Amino acid sequence: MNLHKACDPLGLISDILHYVYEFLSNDARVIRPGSVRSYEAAVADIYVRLLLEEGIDERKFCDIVKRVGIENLLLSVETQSPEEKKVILEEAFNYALTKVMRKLEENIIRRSTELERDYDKERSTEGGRAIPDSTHDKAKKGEGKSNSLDSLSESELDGSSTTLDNISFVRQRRETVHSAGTYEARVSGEVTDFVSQESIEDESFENMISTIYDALYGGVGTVNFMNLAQLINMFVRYDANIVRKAQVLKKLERYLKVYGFSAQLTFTRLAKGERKLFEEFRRRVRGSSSEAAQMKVVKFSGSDRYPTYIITTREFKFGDSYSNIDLYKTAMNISRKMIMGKLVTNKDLVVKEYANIKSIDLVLCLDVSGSMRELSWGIQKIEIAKDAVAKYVQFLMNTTDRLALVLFNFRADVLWTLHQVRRFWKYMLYLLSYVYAGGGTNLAHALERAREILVKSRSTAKHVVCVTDGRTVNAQLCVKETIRLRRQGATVSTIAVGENSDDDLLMRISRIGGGLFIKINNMYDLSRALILDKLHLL
Amino acid sequence: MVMFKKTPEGAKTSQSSQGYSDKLLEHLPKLSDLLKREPVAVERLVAEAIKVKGVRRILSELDKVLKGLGDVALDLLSSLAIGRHVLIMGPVGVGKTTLAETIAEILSISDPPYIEVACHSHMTATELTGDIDIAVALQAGLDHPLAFIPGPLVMAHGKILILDEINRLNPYSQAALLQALQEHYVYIRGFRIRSDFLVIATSNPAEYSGVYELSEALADRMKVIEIMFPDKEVLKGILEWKSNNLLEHLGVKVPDFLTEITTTFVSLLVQDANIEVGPSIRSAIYALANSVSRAWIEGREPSINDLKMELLENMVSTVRGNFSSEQEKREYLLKKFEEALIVAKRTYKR
Repeated sequence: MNLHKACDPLGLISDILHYVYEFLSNDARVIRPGSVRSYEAAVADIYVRLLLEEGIDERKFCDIVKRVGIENLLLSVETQSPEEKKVILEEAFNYALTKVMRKLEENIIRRSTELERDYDKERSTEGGRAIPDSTHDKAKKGEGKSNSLDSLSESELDGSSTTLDNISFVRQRRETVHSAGTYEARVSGEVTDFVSQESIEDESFENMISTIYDALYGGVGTVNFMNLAQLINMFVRYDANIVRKAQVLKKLERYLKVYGFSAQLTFTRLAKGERKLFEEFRRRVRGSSSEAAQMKVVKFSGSDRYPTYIITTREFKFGDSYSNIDLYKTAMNISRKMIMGKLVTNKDLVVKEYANIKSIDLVLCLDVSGSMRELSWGIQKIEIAKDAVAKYVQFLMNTTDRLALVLFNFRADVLWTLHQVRRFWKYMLYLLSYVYAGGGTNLAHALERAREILVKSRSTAKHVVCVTDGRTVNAQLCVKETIRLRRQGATVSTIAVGENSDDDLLMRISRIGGGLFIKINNMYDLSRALILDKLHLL
Repeated sequence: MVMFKKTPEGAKTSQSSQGYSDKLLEHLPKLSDLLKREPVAVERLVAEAIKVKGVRRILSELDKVLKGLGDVALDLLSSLAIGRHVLIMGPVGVGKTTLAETIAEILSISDPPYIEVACHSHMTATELTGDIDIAVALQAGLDHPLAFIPGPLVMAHGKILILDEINRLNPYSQAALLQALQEHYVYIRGFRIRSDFLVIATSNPAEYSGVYELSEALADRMKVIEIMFPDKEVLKGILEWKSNNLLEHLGVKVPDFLTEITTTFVSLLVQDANIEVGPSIRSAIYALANSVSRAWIEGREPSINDLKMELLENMVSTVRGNFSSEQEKREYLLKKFEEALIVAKRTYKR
């Protein structure tokens, strides 16, 4: 008996490849479904590869068919985007394999009933004699893949053919049918698992509405008021990756919107005319002579200890970023040339050079207490502060610094832990846009959180900036925490906003922390103050 | 006295060298012999060799040189057995060329078992096919063995042809190769020489710089086998085994902890998003062995600092990523090393 003919693995493989071709030629992403030569080679190659393998079960069979098939077709098939090619081929093979397998299973079920009938009949008439070859062959054709290939791989190489005795054959067939059954059961089990998991997740988010309600309306300005960081950290670890946090916020988004917290930054929310008006108003009030624009800076740091960015200037070279041009110096140069009646050259364009010698790990502690809800020139202070931090983030994008943000009202929590601004600024701006204000002020806890974050940092330069506009509880603890931070090698700067702030305490913290104390009367100057603190320029 | 003694000996050697060169000349193929060549079914030879050797023995022999590539080797054998040409693709230093050479050597379907060509972008078609030297042909006749110097495409008749770094082959020489593959004949100045061979080509993925794309017709005749970067367990095994092999004659062994650090370091770099081209296994092996041999020279125990230095020196040229300067790259690698040290310490304790 010729085994080769009987089970016809070549036929099976070419069936599979036929379906692959069908899939590829119907798929819109595929430009060329491959040459005949490569398909021919694939069939032969898969067949030989199966022969080389010792012992094949169904999974191994599928693996080999898929892998060797893809290897053969990879260079011949052409898709619209080369990156997708492998994925598409995998899809095609999955499609073909499931299709062929289903066909086989149908065949097996049909044949098995036939075979059983035949078998019983023979048992009754001829006792334990072997099944006639014709039935045997027919059944094997249906059987195809798993068991007969097994024997084939052993028999084909040494050229001898084996005959299977009928009893083991029937047993094997039963096993195959049985395994198909368990496979189905397993799949259905997985599906139910998945569904139940889904539902659990949904439930937890149903609970979330009530949680948020408790959090936000448990009482404004009371202990129970949770800031955004605390809210997010109820669902993830406080030191989780910022991407994960952004995902959580994405899920929380719709619930937050119910309570009127939308993601727009202030200036985009205002109508265009309105915005212009405010800008104009601000410019008038903030003229350099006006009282509101006064900024008081006290420096406590020695220049050697404080991490600085050395800025030098040089002439413009092709390829420099336009945002780095030093406008003042360039303007001076150009106007001088104009007066002297000379041509303006490349040399007149002056570029600021940031010497990125070291990157700093920055922790920004932002006050989100109830006082931040007050209006300043018609806009909530918190919105202006958010805008300032957004500008700060954009400023840091050109550096390799890492930034963490701690929000504090009555308690402090980490909105995001140290992440490189350059890579994660999008997530930072996204998280930032949802920050809201309410509750008391507890600076000490914020400093403690900052310390926890910086413990994990191995950078040589660590810096903490505190922004607050009010009086904090537990002033003594603040000083202690600052001393601890200082011992860890971090520097602390403070920015005080408005008349209400506890300047004495903040000044003390800055002195101990070895950073800057910046006093601004107006929230609009916050971005300037932050960048000033960063650059440490006076 | 001395002169007298030396002359006859010198004469003798020159005579024998003349004899050797004559013998060697006889060894070279003549054009007339080349034209009489019979077709050879190379795939039959390969299948015969597989049958004689047995798959298991081939794999165990391969295992003496390369580890963790059994599956890939079977893929390679299966396509050679049906006469399909193969392209092995993978990052630098994972053992592509070694795999091709070893498989060809194990099969040894001919003598020598394979012809190897290191492809480069300035290769000409005549470099691949060989050419007739007109000067020799005019003086000694066309059939003198030196009149036609056969190229690798002609020499590879009935053998396996290994084309190393085929992605560096320019379109002109690709065309010559394609003709040989398609027609099984190589044309030299009007002479038609039969040449049947199987190609094992190696290539780096296309994102590496300075490469040509394979022409469609050539690519269609090749099957692509990808070698992946090994996972951590396999990698550690490879590093341990290879570096100890290198140090065998010095009588020292690599401390297990150093291997662990190197493995962690390499796998950290491979997964790193900042790095486009990670370090090769080859460079890791040599870094590891170098650090130990350095300590051996100075007669002391190898330290972590040695390893740090060697890793940096061995890898800084192969690693590529988005760094603005060499200095920045070095600093980044150092930082990663510290990270790897901590991770390795933790896993080592366990």
